[in-house]
Amino acid sequence: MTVTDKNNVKSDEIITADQLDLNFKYEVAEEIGGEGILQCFQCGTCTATCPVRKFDPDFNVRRVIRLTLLGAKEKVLTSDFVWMCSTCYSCYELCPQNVKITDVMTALKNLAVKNGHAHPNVKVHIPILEEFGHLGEITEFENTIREKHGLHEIVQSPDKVKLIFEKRKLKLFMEGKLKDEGGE
Amino acid sequence: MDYLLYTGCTVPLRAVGYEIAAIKVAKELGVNLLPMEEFTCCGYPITFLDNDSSMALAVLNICLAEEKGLNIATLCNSCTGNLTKANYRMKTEEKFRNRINELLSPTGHQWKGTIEIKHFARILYEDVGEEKMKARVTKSLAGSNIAPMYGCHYLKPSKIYDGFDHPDHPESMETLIRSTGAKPVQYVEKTLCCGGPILALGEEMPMNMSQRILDGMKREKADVAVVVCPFCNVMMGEYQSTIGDKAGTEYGIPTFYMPQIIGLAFGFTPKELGLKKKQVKKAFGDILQEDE
Ligand code: SF4
Ligand code: SF4
Ligand code: SF4
Ligand code: SF4
Repeated sequence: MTVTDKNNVKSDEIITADQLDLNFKYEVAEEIGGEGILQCFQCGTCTATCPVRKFDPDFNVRRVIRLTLLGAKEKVLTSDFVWMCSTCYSCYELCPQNVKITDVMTALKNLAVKNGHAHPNVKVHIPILEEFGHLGEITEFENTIREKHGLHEIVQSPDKVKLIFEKRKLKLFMEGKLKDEGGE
Repeated sequence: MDYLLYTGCTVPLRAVGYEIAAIKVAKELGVNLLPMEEFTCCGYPITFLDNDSSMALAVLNICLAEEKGLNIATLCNSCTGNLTKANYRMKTEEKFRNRINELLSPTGHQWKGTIEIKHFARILYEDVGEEKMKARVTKSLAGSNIAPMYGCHYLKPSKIYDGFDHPDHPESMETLIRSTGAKPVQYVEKTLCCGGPILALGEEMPMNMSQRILDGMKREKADVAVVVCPFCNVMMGEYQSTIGDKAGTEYGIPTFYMPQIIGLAFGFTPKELGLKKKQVKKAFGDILQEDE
């Protein structure tokens, strides 16, 4: 909902202790893939290797991790920066502390969603998957071309996808109305 | 050698030529890519929203293959990454396994851990091998300089891929290119990310990231680029002229899917590989004799 100014995590800003939530790092560690965050020793290897940072010097993944460890929850979860990681795994590959940064960044995105701060553009896939089970409709047109080339016909069904989303209570997550219950 | 071909959703919608060529080339080399009648999205695009749901969709597809008793072959880097990561975590993390199996329970499927996932390029590199491929070439692509574009999820995170290739200094794509007779172009940007996954947040960043890769290909004088993922092709191929306009240059580097260049070297016609004659002529005109 509220994705605010990306300057939220800029380096010249002072954070005061009363803005901190010391539980935040444990919340991140509870997410699947988030557990490595506690191992970070701030060497900066991740930032140095990040191909997104190359074109936006303000995107500093080491700093996002530091702010998370400090507990700057609101600041991190409402920042545009959590959405800017392109999941390339370059940093993941090189981190000397096995932080699994790409997965931590994903955990932060998921937490932003659960706290009502989903970037509007990340929700668009859900209704499509609920309709087709795939990321788009395979029509007569595609299946005719397939047949011409001797490929099998694709029959789409969203049924199992919907069952999984229902079990996960994904709708409530998307509305920021349900905190993680460990997949229950 | 039998594999179930998991195309994912993008290949049938935007890159059916890739699927056509892969099946043809595979067959020539004794690999059967069998149709996967039932499959859903692999879950990658909803990772950002909810990783649990994303992983559950990946595992659902793994279960569908397990029930057929066949390993999965993939064509898209992101499908490969999501499926392989899910399988790896199911194998190595008990808490994860319970969490995901629970989400799958209403579908009636449960993960057993009996299959593997491999990208088709990896299958050619590992299971078929350079010698066997070379032996099948009837129309060498010698004289063409081809830049391999690895993308990220084909190689990384390397721990889930049993180290089949080096994450920063890979050579599997070069090996496949070499088997066609063409010369692989070396450029340091070959493993960089195109930025495609953050396209939904704005075009500028992915275009900058992709320009960096295209600039590398151009600097090293590539005639052609070869990709192993429909998304890599979106940025390297479909966006190429837009990126060129922004950069004030014309790259003129046609992109092909790996099985398509291999298929050309095996003597298949462009049409048989889901390609247009014009496209092939433009890229390989002097090298490949026209087949009427
Ligand atoms: S590379 Fe790893 S240890 Fe170093 S700053 Fe980044 S996350 Fe922390
Ligand atoms: S995974 Fe994300 S943070 Fe890490 S290098 Fe890639 S884009 Fe940067
Ligand atoms: S990577 Fe994308 S297109 Fe491919 S199956 Fe997964 S979600 Fe669908
Ligand atoms: S380069 Fe782009 S499309 Fe290719 S694997 Fe990486 S993110 Fe995906």
